[in-house]
Amino acid sequence: MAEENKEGISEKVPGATATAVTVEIGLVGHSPSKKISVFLPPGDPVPYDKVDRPLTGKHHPRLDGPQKVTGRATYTHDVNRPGMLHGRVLRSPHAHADIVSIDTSKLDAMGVVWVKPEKKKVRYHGEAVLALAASTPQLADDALHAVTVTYGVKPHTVRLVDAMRPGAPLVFEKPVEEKRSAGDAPSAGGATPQHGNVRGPKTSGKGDVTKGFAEADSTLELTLTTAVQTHVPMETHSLFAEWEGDRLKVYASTQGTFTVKDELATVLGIPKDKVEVVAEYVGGGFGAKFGAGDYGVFAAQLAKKAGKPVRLILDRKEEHLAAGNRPDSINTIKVGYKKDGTVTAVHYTSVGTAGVATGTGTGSFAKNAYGFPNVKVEESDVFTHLGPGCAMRAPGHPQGAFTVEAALDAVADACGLDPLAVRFKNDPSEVRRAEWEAAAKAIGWSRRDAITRANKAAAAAGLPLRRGLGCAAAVWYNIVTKGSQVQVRVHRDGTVEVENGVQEIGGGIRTAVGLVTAEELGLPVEAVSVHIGNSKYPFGPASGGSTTTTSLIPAVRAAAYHAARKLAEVAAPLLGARPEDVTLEGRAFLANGKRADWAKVCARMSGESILAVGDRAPDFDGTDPRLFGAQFVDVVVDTETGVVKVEKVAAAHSCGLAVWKTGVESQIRGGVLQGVSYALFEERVIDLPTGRFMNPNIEQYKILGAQDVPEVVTIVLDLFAGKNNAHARGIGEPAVVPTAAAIANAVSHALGSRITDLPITPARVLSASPTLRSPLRAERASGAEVTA
Amino acid sequence: MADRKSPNPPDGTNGVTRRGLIKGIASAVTAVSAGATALLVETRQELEAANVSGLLSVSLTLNGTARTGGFEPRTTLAEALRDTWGLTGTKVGCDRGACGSCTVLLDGVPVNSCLTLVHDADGKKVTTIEGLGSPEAMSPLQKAFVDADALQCGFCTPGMIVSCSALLAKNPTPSREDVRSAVSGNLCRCGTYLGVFEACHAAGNPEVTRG
Amino acid sequence: MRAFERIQPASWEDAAAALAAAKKAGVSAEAKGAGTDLLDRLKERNVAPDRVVDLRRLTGNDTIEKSPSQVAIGALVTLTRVVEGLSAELPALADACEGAATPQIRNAATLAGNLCQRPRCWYFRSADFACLKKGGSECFAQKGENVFHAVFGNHTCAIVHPSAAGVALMAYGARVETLSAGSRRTIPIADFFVTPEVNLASENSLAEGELVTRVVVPRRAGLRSAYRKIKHKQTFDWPLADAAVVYRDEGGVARDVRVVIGSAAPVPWRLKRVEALVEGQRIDAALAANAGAAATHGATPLEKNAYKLPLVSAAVRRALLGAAGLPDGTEKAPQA
Repeated sequence: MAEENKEGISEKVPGATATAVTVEIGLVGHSPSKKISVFLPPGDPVPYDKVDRPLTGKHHPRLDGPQKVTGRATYTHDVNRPGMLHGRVLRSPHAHADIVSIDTSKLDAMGVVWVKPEKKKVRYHGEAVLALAASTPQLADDALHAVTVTYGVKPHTVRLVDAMRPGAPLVFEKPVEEKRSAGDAPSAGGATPQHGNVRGPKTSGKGDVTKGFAEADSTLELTLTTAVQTHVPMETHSLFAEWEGDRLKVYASTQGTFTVKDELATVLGIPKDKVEVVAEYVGGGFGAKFGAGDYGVFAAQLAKKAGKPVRLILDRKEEHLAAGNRPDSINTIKVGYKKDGTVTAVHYTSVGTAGVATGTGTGSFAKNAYGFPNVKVEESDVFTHLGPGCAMRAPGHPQGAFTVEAALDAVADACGLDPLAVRFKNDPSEVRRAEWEAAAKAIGWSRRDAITRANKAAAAAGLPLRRGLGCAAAVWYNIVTKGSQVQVRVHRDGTVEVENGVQEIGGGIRTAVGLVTAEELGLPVEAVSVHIGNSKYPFGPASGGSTTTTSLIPAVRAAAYHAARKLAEVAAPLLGARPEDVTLEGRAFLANGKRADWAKVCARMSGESILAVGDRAPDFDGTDPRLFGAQFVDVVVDTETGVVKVEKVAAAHSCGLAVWKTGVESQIRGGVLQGVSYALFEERVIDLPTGRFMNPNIEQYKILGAQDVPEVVTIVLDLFAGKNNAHARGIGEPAVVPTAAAIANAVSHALGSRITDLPITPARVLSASPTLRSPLRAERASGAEVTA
Repeated sequence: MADRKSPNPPDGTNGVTRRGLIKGIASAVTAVSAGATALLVETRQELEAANVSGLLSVSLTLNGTARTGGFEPRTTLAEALRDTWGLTGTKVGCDRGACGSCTVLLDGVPVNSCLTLVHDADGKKVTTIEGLGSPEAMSPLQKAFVDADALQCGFCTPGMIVSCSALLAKNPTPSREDVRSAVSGNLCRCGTYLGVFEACHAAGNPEVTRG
Repeated sequence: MRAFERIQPASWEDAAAALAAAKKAGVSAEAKGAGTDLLDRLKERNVAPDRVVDLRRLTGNDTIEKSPSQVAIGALVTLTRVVEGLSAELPALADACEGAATPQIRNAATLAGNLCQRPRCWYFRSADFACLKKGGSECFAQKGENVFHAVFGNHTCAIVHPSAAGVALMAYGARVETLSAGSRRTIPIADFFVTPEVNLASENSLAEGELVTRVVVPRRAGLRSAYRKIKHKQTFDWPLADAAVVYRDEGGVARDVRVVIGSAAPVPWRLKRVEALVEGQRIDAALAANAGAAATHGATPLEKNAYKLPLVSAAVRRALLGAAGLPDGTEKAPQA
């Protein structure tokens, strides 16, 4: 994947119009800086050359914080109109069935409108069969129960290993085309063989694994599994649709105002200029909210049919059943290594099921995280009669990290080496080296051997608790959505508006846009009105794959810079200076030791406002497109009960120069906590005889809560990363990649035996734990009453 | 500055004035046959006069203001707050009492408004997130949430703050452990918990230096 | 949820009369306290009564009354008030109630509601399964997804009883006072909970329309008690195993020992064999470990829940040591 990125992302700006400048790159305070030559579009600002800047790169309160903490931020769930109808979706209770008939006869009498997708069968529990809208939520609920669907139930297959067997009920009769969405791993798509329910293997890699294994002193092989994880955004998928003549305006809980716009226009067959998508506040997404969804199309169709606005909100059960998930996986890794811990070859295979969808591969981490010279990856999707998987925060990577990092720990064990020493042997990245060192210090990695001894003493004393330390690496990629454009308008009265259609899903892009704009104009951030979350504004990226900041911020900076230069033209005569010598600082224009007030200059503009547009220039060449991170964890395992508590996580990451440091730290903490939850708790439970999802709630589908939260130390390393004028990169994905892997390794350390399956439930800890046969049990043997 | 355009009218009535609704009783009556579940009125007498079958009156003190409405018995407090009274700061994340996004104070005590029938709040005081402060006049706790960046997407945040406000009312100087248990019925998927612990602790212990 | 008629009685007697009247009229009715469990089931349309008789707004049976010989807890007393009011007198009950739900639910949910709530079994809760308990022909958990199900008494129906308070109250030997139209009775808690073999449709011996009014816990000198639970998540989670231990300390020796486990059987499950092992003994680490080991005697785990057995042992061992005020080894994790 990184190889693809290296080739695919970088494009030179045509030399005739571009300006060549020299940029220093490197990790601040660590690696020696290097100089590269880059091409800037005409008039664009030169890349940042210092860490200490007036507004960006610093801590700052979130701009929309006051709206959010007072309940005034309006999400799609909150949109309400007089006369609005409430939409609901009727869903299949069966995993696989023909739809024989649908009796809607009672709906008309109830005053309920309905639409029906054109389909003759359902392929998973929760697949949509019909949608309706009624004047109240209660009536809509009654209406759902007034519809009678006759199903012809057919055999289903829901378990990965069963679905792979010849003769398993087929999910699709013919080979399927793979759809890509904005949050997919870049390796998705392409032609792949399909036999039965198995689509694959898709083979990729680098080097020559045969040669690599020949060079190895020894080999080891591990098979590890992961469970299906659902996204569980606190705001479920939802869409409000309102027609004004032939124009459709929707509010959507989405990670992509423009992806929803495109999808609605395409599916409904209406021109793009007739669709407006608003997503001012979005209650989380994590990869599941790129499209309009069938529910969104239903809302639009129902609104059209009823001639009234329709708000359709999925309930928590529907969210679990049909709104996406991170696929499960069975991963096998064979590693060839030398006695000094150097890995010479990796053969990695993954199979997984995304239900009726594709995209389960977990091999990218094996190819891209370390410097393994020879890697062969084979990935297969297996279709099952289950709800579709989709992109989820760093698709494939937490699973891949879990597998590869377990193998590296196994190599360390086999060679009698410290696990971190094995990482150093195989990790050529200077950035990651600094991260390993900083985070190891924060967790107290040097205690590891002493902890091993303390665990032995605890076992000898018959005590139940053990401690473990573990580590793992993060890798992700600088992925850019091309074509982002930002508009800055400065008005005669001195007010400033910055506009882009991008949506705020929690990462804080609204704040980042405000800070960058204000800084270029020498203003406090309060002086800038940030307008985002609407497809009527210039094109912006969907928020997925850690693309938002890197795709948008350089364009924001360019737009604000262009506006500043236009204003400098106005200010120059006042200061008796050339425009190019005018700088903007402290609400003023400065040159020649003279100062002109912002308001005074703005009042002199010739028109009512100055408009400037910034484009996202193609990425600069010459730097590594990967994002690195390293995390360490400290866990306590109760060997009597199998309960694991994560006490502390140290997370070191680098995302170029942080645009808004507060947000970067919050995102790292959030990624870590999702990783803890994934490692310990999350698992979809399917009833095999019926294929039904048994825990579509947030009670028996367990997610981390307040009392499961460890201390999290965040370490953000500043990196002059190149690539764009702000050295801006994302952080959402890398933060979640290593956490579960590090926890599994820490639990393995605590137990003295390897954890091979996620989530790390009490049942699994107890079965993995030879130390369970502790003196506690020996003591029992001397008692009167013993039943084994 | 954040874009403050709201798709809903700012007065919290979803575009229908109270007067308009009272006038609109006749049409509401018509709508009942098609399933009207709520009606805003000034007094119980008005509701009785409207004679809407199936609706029972509720009078309560909402964020300090007396409110009366007629609701079907199966209406939850969360639905009444959000859909009828326009107070959408109270969120519904799971509708089963597991996530705490719908937390409100009922006579000062945090409860899940999704698991409370609106009629069970009759005669009681209900405080929602809107009653704790406004963007222009945030409470010290709300301010502390912003300062500690105790929010990301913000959807769980109102419930978190309502839970923390009840803790502070009872225990003005809570430890971080106290905060942990106070918000143990509030789930956050973005992972803002550490900020929440910090914010509530700092709001209750103002001498604590903030990082 | 389906529309229902709300009945707001003026008194407990009126409430009982309203339920009796509904029964006589052949109309389905449910009594509602806080409704935290009922609303969940109403929303799933797991239950769709024509009438809901509200108890929440009634006066009476809403206080805790302490005397030297007993503690009487009104049916409407919330879990929060039990936690705050009885942690000194009845620590096992207070701890059980504290762990029974989230703070918001504890603030609303009543003690009687905790005892009468329906099981969390996902086959029972799902409208898509007509399980044995709901009048169907099969307990789907027997061969299905039974990771959270019963390891004792599970041959007919494998639910675990969801009441944590019930585990503690069983150990304390409490009595449940009830009211029906025209009559009152007192039920020993051991007779309050009934197994599926006795009644598949209900987890308790209340007659249709019979209401819990008070729970009375006897007090004795030297009483010691503790409740311990093993949970996957440390934030609110239904326990995988829990245990309550109550005994009378007589010169350092345990008398009248009661050991009850929860999350393990269709009713709070008394371990008489373990009680006999501890009776008359001085509780120490070795005895507690032996008692823990004995706690799983006679267990019949299903395909996916045998892991619960060591958890049952741990909960019993820790509750015994907790009641005796002794450390259980989990106080401190190994340090470098």
